[in-house]
Amino acid sequence: MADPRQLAALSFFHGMPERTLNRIAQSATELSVPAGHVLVRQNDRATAVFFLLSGSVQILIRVGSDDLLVGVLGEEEGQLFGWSTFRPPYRYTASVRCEGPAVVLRVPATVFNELFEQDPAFAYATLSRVAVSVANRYEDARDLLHLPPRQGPVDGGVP
Amino acid sequence: MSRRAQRVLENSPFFEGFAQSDIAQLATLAKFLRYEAGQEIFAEEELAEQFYVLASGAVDLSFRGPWAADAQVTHVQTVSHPGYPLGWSSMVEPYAYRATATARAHTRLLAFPRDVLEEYANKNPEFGLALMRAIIGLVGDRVRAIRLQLIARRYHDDVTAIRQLLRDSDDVLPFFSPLHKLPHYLENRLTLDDAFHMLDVVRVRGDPVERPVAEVCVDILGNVRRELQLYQQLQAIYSSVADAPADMDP
Repeated sequence: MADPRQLAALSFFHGMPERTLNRIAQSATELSVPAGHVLVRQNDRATAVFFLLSGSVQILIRVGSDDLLVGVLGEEEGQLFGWSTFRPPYRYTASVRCEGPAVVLRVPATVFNELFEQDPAFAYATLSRVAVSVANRYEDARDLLHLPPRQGPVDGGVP
Repeated sequence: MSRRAQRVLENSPFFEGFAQSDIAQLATLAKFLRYEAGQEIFAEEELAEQFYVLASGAVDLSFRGPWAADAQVTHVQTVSHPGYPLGWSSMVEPYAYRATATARAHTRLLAFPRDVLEEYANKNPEFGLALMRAIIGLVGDRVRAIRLQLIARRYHDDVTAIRQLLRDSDDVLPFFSPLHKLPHYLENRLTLDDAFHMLDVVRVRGDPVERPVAEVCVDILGNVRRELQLYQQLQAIYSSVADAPADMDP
């Protein structure tokens, strides 16, 4: 179980009712993971969403036997990853690996689904926040596309 | 007019799964706008106050990269089939358009003011939920398309990117989906036309899983299609010259 006050401090959860925060915190788990740990594997069923509390993570796409780096998260606390939890076909579209030691908060999808069913207004507000994260990922990827070849992280791909 | 607007929304894959009563109500909230070829619809970084749905015509989307000192513009997508949404940034904070949209031909759009849509969503949260799910789906597909373009660039090979996309979609695409044939069509110039014909059919008539995959493929293959069209034009010119009577004036 996570600390509801810790949740309330993350921008994603700002303004959420205490009862809701308590319910999410009850199911959430704080994980301290070492460098190189893979938190999310591309194509796996998306069963949880993550919030980065400290450290940084790489977003990787597997092509054949290569893992191509398409983004890095970690500049600001509380960044969300694993948003495929909220969209069909509910499978992760990329892998996420820790660059160094990291601390993340793992929230199972079932908890959000339960709350969404009880309160569509909460669902609308929460998915509006998820949409911001997805839009940011879109901008990050698009900016890489704009880099001249051989300068972007993709070309410096991780073996 | 709202009857025409309703038809556009009913035929839009984006609004699939929305309650019929919401679609009927939305149609009354929208207005039709017309744009001529070359006219700007919205500009990147501008305050996003309208959400649009394409009724007819075609729209080019482009953006300026953050590192481009010379304000270089990158074309990201041409939207050409009716029902496709534009300006999703109007529904996502910080409500600033993330691309510039320009009419490619005479174009008609259905426009929804953001505040009106938000008010309707707040009063009808089931609708708000459906709307945000659809937007996350749409932007998620765009993320996937851009990442595949990165792969295509990394490998200098669109077919690799397409194979990757189909592998990722393997367990959700229907077994008999024509999309599985795509990598084979792309390997030979003689079957490129078949590839694009199939993609155009699937992006309109495919099932809800096939359509976004076909859409992403069309995006990735934008340059290949332009090259093919140029090649076909040159071929037509060559044929008309080769078949011309010997005594015809140049």
